[in-house]
Amino acid sequence: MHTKTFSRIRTTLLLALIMALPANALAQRVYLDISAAETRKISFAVPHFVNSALPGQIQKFGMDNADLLAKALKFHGIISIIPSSDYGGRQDADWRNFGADYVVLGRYNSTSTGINFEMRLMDVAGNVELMGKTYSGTMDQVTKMIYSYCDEVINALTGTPGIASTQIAFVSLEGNAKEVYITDILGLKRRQVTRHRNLVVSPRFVKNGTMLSYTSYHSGNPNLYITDLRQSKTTKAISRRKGMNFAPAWSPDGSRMILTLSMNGNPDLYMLDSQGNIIEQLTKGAGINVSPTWSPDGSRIVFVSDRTGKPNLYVMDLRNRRTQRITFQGTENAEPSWSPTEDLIAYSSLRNGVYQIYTVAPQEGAKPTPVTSDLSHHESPQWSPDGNQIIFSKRDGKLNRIYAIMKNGSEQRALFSFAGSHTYPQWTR
Amino acid sequence: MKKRISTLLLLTACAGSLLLAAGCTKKPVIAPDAGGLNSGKTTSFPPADGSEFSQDNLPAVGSLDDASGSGAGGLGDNASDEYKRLHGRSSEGLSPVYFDFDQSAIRGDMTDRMVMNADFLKQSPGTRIVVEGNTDERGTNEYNLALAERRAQNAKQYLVRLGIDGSRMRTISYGEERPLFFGQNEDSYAQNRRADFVAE
Repeated sequence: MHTKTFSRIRTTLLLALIMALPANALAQRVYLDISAAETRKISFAVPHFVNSALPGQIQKFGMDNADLLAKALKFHGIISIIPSSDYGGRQDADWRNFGADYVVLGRYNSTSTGINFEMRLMDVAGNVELMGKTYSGTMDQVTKMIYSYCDEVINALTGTPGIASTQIAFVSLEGNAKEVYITDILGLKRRQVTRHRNLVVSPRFVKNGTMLSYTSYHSGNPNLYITDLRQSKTTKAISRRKGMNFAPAWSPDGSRMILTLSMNGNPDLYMLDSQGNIIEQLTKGAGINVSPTWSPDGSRIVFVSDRTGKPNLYVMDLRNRRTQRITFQGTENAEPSWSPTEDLIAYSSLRNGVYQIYTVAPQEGAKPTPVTSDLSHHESPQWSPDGNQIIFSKRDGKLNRIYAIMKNGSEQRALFSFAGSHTYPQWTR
Repeated sequence: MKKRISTLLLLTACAGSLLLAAGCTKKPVIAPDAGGLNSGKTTSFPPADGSEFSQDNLPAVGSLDDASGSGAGGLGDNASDEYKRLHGRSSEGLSPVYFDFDQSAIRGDMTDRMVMNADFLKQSPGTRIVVEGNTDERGTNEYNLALAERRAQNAKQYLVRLGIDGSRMRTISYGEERPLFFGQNEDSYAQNRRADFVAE
């Protein structure tokens, strides 16, 4: 329905342009590519939301939630926000004057059980409403409503839902323990997932973030556990073989995992079912084999092996078990993450003594592209669910913090201000 | 997707400049109270039904289907630097061994220690040990966990070759997750590239 509205607008505009423009006018325009390093961003205004019951009276609640939507939109890397102070936060400003391409107008009213929100996306040039939605729920769900509308706006603009409603997991060192936490993208709320008061490593979302697996040392052996994120009562051990049980790659449907086990001495990859039964051993005695990640179609994995001396990335075709090395530059290459939207691997590469984030296509001879270049260690890259961004753990003084960056290397920023040292980021819808 | 957004932007920008160029004076006001929505629908968020995640209900020690064992106690170390340099986290009578960067082979200068450790274990046949592998903080976390596992395995195999029954020993890898020294310098790194022998 949104798409249809858009097509109509586009067709109308296109016809108007063809008739009105001199032949060379289009060619003079800068072509806008969201993956290019220099991009003109889409300019948004999100004026203060209005309480329908008290028009003309601005409330902190309306300001805060408009700002939250603005931040969530900006997070996507393709949108710039006109500061509300420029136009006083008014909903009836002359948007063209302020250079806004789009404006979101929001209003709310409280009900006996909670709150109703209405938000509308306006196209300034066309002076039309493109996409409006209303939400009703409890006050606890307001952030959810704002994030949900943000994702609708991004979907209306790009054809792919936004990532405001997604979840990020990470391991945090606080005091004497490393535990798994989950947060929203803006770090408004952090919730603790494990409380073993020991060492937890390598969290992995399972089945679109409904479950989470992790390796905990609390029993004295690094065993693999899985917990239901919707109902945290149900946590169980799914592999507790002698030695390591860690860093699984879950198949997209959650029915299988590829896990590193060292029960036979060497850290090798094994295919297991979701209950932890071994189906097949995939690597055998050829150095260390860790950190597998599945291609979105489930046909291949990429993993780290030091079978030729230093850690490098290898792709295994699961249909015929053929394995080929794909990294040949850099002293070490590790921690691959397969893009959810294209054949592109993000990984950390040791260059001149510093770990940098690179991307490379999963085939022999592909040329790696640098994403980061400053002289701090950048580790554990993971793709955003829309495939446009990469999060990673970055050394910041004595602590590690979670950063995000667009895949073209722009917009690097620290994400959260939570206490602790943060490693092993993971991201899911 | 790229193409789509680009086209959209291009058109938006063009349309805007067209209107300006044409000297369009119509004030582009979008009324905030323009009545009902032209598009879209209502989404109701259902109230929590009690099955939602709660922080009061975390997987914790004792609540799982395996026993809490010798891993309990957290990651802290209270010993002095002097003590840690001599003993690492190894038990009395046993000495830690150190490794070269990115290597898991027992170094030539560590073989005397391994012989002493083997002698100690032969003299106390009832002692069971866990061999703990560690790395320095350089390198990536998951690779380091595997590298430290291999260090522990190599140290264990070395003791087996010196006549210690393998069933008396198990290995555990802490990778770079549990450093004994916290400096970002070669001295700390060298201390942390270590395997300890801990009596169980």
